[in-house]
Amino acid sequence: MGIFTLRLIESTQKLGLRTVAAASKVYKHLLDECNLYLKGDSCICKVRVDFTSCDSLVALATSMLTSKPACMLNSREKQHIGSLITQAFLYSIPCNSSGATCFGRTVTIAIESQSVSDAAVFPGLLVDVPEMLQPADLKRLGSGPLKVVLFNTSLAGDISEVGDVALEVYGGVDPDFEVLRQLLRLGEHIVKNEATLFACQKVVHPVLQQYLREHGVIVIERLGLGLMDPFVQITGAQAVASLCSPVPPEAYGLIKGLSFQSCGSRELLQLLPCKDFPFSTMVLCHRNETMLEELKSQSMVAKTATSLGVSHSEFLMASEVFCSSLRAVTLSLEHDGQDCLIDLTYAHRWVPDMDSPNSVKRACGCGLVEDRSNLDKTPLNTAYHTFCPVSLENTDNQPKILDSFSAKLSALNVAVEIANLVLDLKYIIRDVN
Amino acid sequence: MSRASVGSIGQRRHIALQQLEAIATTTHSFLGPHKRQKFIQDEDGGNAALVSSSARLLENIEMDSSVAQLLNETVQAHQKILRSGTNTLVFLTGIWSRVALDCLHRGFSVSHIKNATTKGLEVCLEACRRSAEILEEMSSKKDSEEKLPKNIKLTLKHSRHFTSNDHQTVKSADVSHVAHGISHGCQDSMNLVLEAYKLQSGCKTSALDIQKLVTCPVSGPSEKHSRVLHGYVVLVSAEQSSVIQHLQEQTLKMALVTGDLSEEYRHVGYNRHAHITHVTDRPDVTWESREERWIETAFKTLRNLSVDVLLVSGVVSVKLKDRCIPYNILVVEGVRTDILKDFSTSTGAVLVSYITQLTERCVGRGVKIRRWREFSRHGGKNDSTAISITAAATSLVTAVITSSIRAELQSLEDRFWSCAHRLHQAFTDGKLLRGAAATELLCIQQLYKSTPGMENPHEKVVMQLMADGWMDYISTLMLNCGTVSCKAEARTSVTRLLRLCEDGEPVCVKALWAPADVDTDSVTSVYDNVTVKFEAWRRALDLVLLVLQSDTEIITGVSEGENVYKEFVFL
Repeated sequence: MGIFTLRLIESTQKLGLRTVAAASKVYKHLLDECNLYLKGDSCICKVRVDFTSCDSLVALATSMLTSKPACMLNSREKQHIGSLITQAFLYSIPCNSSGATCFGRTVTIAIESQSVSDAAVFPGLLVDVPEMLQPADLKRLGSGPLKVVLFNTSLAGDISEVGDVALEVYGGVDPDFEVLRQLLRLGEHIVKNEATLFACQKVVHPVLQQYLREHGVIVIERLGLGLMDPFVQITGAQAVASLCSPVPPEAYGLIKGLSFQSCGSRELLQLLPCKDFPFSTMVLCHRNETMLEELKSQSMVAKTATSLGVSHSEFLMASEVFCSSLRAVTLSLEHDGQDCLIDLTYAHRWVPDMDSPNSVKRACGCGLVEDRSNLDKTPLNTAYHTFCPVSLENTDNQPKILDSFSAKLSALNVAVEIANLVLDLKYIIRDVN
Repeated sequence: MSRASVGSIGQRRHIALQQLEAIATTTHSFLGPHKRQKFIQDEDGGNAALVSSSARLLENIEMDSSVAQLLNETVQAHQKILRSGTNTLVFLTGIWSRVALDCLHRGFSVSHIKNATTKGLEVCLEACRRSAEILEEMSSKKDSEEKLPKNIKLTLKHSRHFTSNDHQTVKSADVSHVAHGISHGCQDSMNLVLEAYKLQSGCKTSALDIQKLVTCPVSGPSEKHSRVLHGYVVLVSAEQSSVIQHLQEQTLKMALVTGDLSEEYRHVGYNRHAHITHVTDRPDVTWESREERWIETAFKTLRNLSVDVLLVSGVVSVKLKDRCIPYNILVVEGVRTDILKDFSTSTGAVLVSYITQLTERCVGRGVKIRRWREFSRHGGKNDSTAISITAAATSLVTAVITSSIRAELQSLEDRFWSCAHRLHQAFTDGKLLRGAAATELLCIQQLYKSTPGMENPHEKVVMQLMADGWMDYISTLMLNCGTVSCKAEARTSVTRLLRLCEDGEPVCVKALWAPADVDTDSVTSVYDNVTVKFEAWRRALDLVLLVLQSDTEIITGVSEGENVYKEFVFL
């Protein structure tokens, strides 16, 4: 959609100053029309996704991966990841709940240097195994719900939380010693309250860790900001921000249990939720870090759904710019410089066949329409008579490529808003100093 | 996009692929068992490094281009896990970059190139998978006259959470046959690995536990003094030799510390406050006495707990070390954390970060020290003694690797690890590929065989180009081994061999090396790891296709004050 925004801005600027101001209004209006049409029932671009069939969900996920070549997946790997994404999505649908439901949560973690086929979905939350944790420690915990406490402040024993201020220390007091003493008091308090899992977003002082471990508490440090929210969701704990005051009873959370899981050659610690909250972790693996990043960003769960005061000529010019910008997006889909055709009946996109240059491929770009001899086509950037596209009834074909409805709609809206914002700008203030 | 702009974008693609090909050619001399080493000189610093593998070469070169960095990333990722096969990886990256460039010149589209090369690789992988030899069958083939149990299983520890109660011994002849086959010219290093394997299997644990292997490089004595010893072998300075004298023959207590052992040390994650001022009205509380007090406390702790051996992962304060010597406390610095963890498991010691954490419960027992040998250098000044530290139930084994050329030590260590990982991988996979270019010949055969069946003219061309690539691989290998005087001669041999070969029969690799009077028996017993080869091939193709598909390079970072962009690309 960046292409759309840039094209819109570039072309509008060529129109002449007075028209530019008018153009923003026209674009807003056209956008509203697009929104109305796309959200309406008669929109022919929308495809119903059948939730009773896993195949269609897997196809949806797989098609999204297909559109991202930088993931470098072969077809078997794509199928595997596609089915994992579907699995994660299905895990996130709550069962046994009445009334208003909302989707659960899926956390994605990435492991490099593993084969793609090692990727898997696990229920619950997966974190790195703490260094000193042994299988015997977990066995000692037994079964049954475990009490959890969570800290989001540094427990490293330093005074970094006060910030970059000058401190004066009097009377031979040793700040490290005093902070450590407070940390150990905190530890005693936690142990007395029978918590068995102690988690911290940041670093925990080794002496406190040793004390807790000796009293049968499992310590997870350096959880990181990214995992704090999922942790809170899965345990129901409230993150404690201070080491000085005692932990309030309502801040403790619960988990059903802990166990080791392995993914490829990496060991992870699995936290299982107590309540029925649908929570899962998807572990993605790839041979190369760059490809792994690409894969991570493309894995998304499929969701469905989903006046102007200008002159007549200004309206027409602006509409033409709007439409040509949308066409530019379509044309840029073909990376090899191929021509892009549109058929004059259903208004679907067609690409010439690589192997026989004078004809097109058997089916259209999205796969729903098959070629026929009387289907007239013309290159997309030429003029053609306006026509009303016919909607496809009773087709047996399944769409090959699908896009997320809400993502596309949102992208279109954002693109037009940005274009309008840029076009509206009259001055830029720059700080030279 | 118009035709004109395709051309200009095509130019940029060429540059990245050309760069990839160029970098790859620098590593050609590393292919095969007879590597020609390279010196890399740092012009600014004056340092030099001696390298004999692609991974080390790329590590030591300064790389500005993003393509070179991508290559390095790929190679280091492969090296970290598998420790071998990087030369093949880089070579094939260069070859397949050339294939891609060739196809672009012929006007093939990117998606065609991608599909055809992926298909070509799958053809090769499938053929090789089918022809791989199963280890059990190999061993029974070799010792067919002796009775062998049908299922020989070698159990391996993959992680500390795997425990196996199934200890079945493997015939040592089988292991050494396999080991010899995959040593690829590093027989000396492989012999060290085999000694390590023997020592470990003697400890009644799973054989060849790669997590419990350590290397101790020693420069000075020649290579033939390399040995493998039970336990953790470390060099201690001459000052501590009296301590060792006293501690031998006893069962000792041990303490383990991570991080440095000094008054100023704070654990990782502790942020020192930048502006603290201590104000006091007592003039005797000075900084020196603070350090003195710390040393006294630390020393008293060690004495009270009767600690005899102290292993520390970081650096130990010199004053503390000096304090310990007259009281016969051995202090060893720079111990890797995983070794500390092994001692923790086998002695019951608990790892601590601060000496103040040491309690009775944290001290381990059952440790023995043995003096192995003295190494004197430069007339007494840098004398050191090699000692081995063992705990009762440990399966730690150290390979002491010696060399009179300091610069070569790293290569020797790398070779040891490469051999160890190859042997480990062979047993993990349970099968091996035939070596000495047999696999590559098979790939060429398969690619030629699959061409007539293809309707797509692009695919035919790509298969041909990939077969040429494998031909280049074999020619380079033969050239490096010295069995041909030029690559053209090698190509002629291979072409003739393929022509003579019967339909359906795999190419006889003996015939390839026979004209050069190479011992043909030794040729047929050369093997390659399945996973190492397949992963190297896959990563190479992934990288080439990734570079092929990226059509622009965005350069970030403009130096402040200069409003000049050195190079930028418009989308």
